[in-house]
Amino acid sequence: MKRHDVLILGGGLAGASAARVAHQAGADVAIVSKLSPLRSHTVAAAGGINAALAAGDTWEGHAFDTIKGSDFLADQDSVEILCREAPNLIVEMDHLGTPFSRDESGTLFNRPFGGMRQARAFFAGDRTGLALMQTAWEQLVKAGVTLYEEWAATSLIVENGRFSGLIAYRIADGTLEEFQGKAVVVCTGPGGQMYLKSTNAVTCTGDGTALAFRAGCALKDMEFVQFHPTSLHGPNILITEAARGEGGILKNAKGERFMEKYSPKMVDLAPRDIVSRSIQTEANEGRAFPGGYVHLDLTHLGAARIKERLPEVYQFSTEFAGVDPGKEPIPIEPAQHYIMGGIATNNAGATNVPGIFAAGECACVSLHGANRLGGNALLECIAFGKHAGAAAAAFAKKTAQIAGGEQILQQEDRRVDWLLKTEGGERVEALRLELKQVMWDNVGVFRNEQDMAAALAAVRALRKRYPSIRVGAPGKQFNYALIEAMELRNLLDLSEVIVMPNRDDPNWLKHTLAWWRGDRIELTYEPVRITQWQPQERTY
Amino acid sequence: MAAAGADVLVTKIKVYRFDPEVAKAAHYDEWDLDVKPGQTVLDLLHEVHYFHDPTLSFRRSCRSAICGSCAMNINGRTGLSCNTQAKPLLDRDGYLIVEPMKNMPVLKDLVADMGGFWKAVYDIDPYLRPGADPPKGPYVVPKHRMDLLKIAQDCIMCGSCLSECTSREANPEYLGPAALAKAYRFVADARDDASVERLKEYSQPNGIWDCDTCLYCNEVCPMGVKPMDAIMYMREKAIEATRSWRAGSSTRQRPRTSLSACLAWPPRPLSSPKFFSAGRRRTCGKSRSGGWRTSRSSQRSSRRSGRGRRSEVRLLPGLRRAG
Repeated sequence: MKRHDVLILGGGLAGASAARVAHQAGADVAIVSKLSPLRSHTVAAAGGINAALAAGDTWEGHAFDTIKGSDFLADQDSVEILCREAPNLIVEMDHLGTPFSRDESGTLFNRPFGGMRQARAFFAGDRTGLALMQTAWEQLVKAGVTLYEEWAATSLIVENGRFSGLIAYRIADGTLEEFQGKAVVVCTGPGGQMYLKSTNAVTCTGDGTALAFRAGCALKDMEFVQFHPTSLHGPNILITEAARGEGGILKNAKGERFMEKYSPKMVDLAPRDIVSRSIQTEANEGRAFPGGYVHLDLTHLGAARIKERLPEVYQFSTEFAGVDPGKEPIPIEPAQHYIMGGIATNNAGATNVPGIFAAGECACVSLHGANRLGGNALLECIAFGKHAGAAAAAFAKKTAQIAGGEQILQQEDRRVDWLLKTEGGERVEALRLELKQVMWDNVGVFRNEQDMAAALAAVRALRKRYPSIRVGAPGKQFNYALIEAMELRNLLDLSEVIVMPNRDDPNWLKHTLAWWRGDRIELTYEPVRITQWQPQERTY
Repeated sequence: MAAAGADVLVTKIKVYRFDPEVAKAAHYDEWDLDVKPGQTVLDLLHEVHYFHDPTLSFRRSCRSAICGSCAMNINGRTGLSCNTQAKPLLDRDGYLIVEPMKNMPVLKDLVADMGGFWKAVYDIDPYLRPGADPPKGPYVVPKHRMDLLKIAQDCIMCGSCLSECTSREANPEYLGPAALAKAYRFVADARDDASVERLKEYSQPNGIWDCDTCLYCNEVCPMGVKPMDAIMYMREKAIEATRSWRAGSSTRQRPRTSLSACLAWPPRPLSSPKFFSAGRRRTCGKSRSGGWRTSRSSQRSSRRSGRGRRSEVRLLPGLRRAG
């Protein structure tokens, strides 16, 4: 058994930010992550981080764009916090060492991003996530925060309605161990692997979200899934929005700049939901290339500028699609990218279960409502990672550790044992592929009642088949087949929440809360918090 | 397993297997797979793992060459399996052999123990050590100055360079290219106030002077990081810093060399004949008896010298490769 004041589940940008702040507050902090922190999916975030830092920009402008982008379903007090703090966070990260791109006079560069009326995305080339993650990780090393790398959490322990610890499985040797803690910050990031086409990493399986859900935390707004318009056709590798920020143009198979039709004002830089729906409409109406892709044209920028400002786009296009973006357009298609919903938290990152906090993509404050704007995710990770870390440390300070995870440990031990020995007929990957296909076909870029009902039935059927899976690998060391079986369970549980029909349009401006009730999922609603911006028609 | 059309190639993939729970010795397993154009080595490994042998272990995550999880040895050269196209390799070599990284113990199958890798990175103090008075806003650093970091800042810590490092192979205590590229990233950062202390520290044995300049790190890095260039830059700056220390050393007190003095811009290009001239190399030798201790230069032969992989490598003027 291991014991720390504050456990941080996941070591990405949100987790590292939470750990840094909790450590500074004097708590004994440990990060438990199924990956090494620098392998976290934060590093895949490319284009930038938003802040009203440039001369003439205001935090109110940033907040309004974010709220309009969210289709007025973000909580406005939360967005205000995010946008007020953003400039200072950029400065803080710069002081800690993030190599933001600059101009010759030494000021930070920024560039336009989708749905923003002003250029306010700061960046480090087009590897901004990598640069920020490195800085956050460096600070962890400096502070000497304890790291448990390659430990996959299997369960959060809640005793008498309060968090008391978690169970984690050590991938290196198959040890199952109890971690006692007074508070946990769940920062496990994305969970998009239930979609056939996704820009998410293979390891993005929503583990923390599912664990918190089963431990009694409410999930908020899980129906809002973002589809990124520009993923590489085929491998669905992310081509950053910065490509359009730098002047990239979308063209259909007829060579038309079709975004002029859907978004006369912002054209190619309309928010992601609008661009994705536009591409899908072009495809549905037969104006895409065979296979359903369209072109992202960067050729007018020239190879030199692409290599300078968008080195990753250049690398990805040449390595994965065999296309030189300086000479030919890049074939792109929409793919699942981000889940706006997640573990419901307040502005301090606290959930409804005392001792469980959450931050980053797995959480839902809500800052993004129905659609997140590019450049706000990295910002959220730092801003609300820090809030959650501070709140968790404060909670731990005034709370005594409660014991009692022995029973859960035994239960998890039996489950792992069962997974290793079970000889069912269902291959884990076959089941997972079925799930991905169902989700993509039925609740992809467009959702409608009929397809959602079909998806719900299909997902429930898949969940029933889960007990007859076969892992097929009995080993204790680096048994990734076992990990994938555990991940599949998490994906299935979250998928059911995502496909549940939960819109209530007459009573709109509501958040949907999903509650785990063992054998069923219950939905409740709460109003969206509005401060100064009244909903208006969302045109761009 | 029949080939379907000209674009599909049925081929064998040979994979290194080691499971300490089962046997003490390693062996190779082979699978017949259809290799389609566009498929990466990671795609093939996934196919084996998902549909043929779930016991096969390998690390992977992002599948887009940014997380650094999946470095392995593919047809004798370390790289990321996720961005290595299988078909061109097969066309070139006629075979596909996947093995774990070198210079690290193997834990299981393709999973290498990266403990030694991380330890070296931790050892170089991998965090900014800024001055006492940071500005109110962001640091004012001109673009050309920030661009110095470009040869190192995109490192994803995959370990490819360490796997191929000939100096590390001969000396397991050597910090290695990734750690030293990380070190450079701070030395070259105008915001870091400890560059001189850093250079002194990195000049200790197993540091910047122990690179035998084989250039493999530059060659294999999947992100275009140039660890060897970074090491050469630090050597140059270490010598300059030692000189300025000597010049002002009448009181035997090391002056606080300002960054602008220590890291003069523009730096001479690394290939500058002046730097690599015999005269400079002698200076380097002299410094051993004085201020900083520079360790032995590596005089080792490379075990790979006959494999023809060097065709693209041009030696820098005046640089003599050992062995």
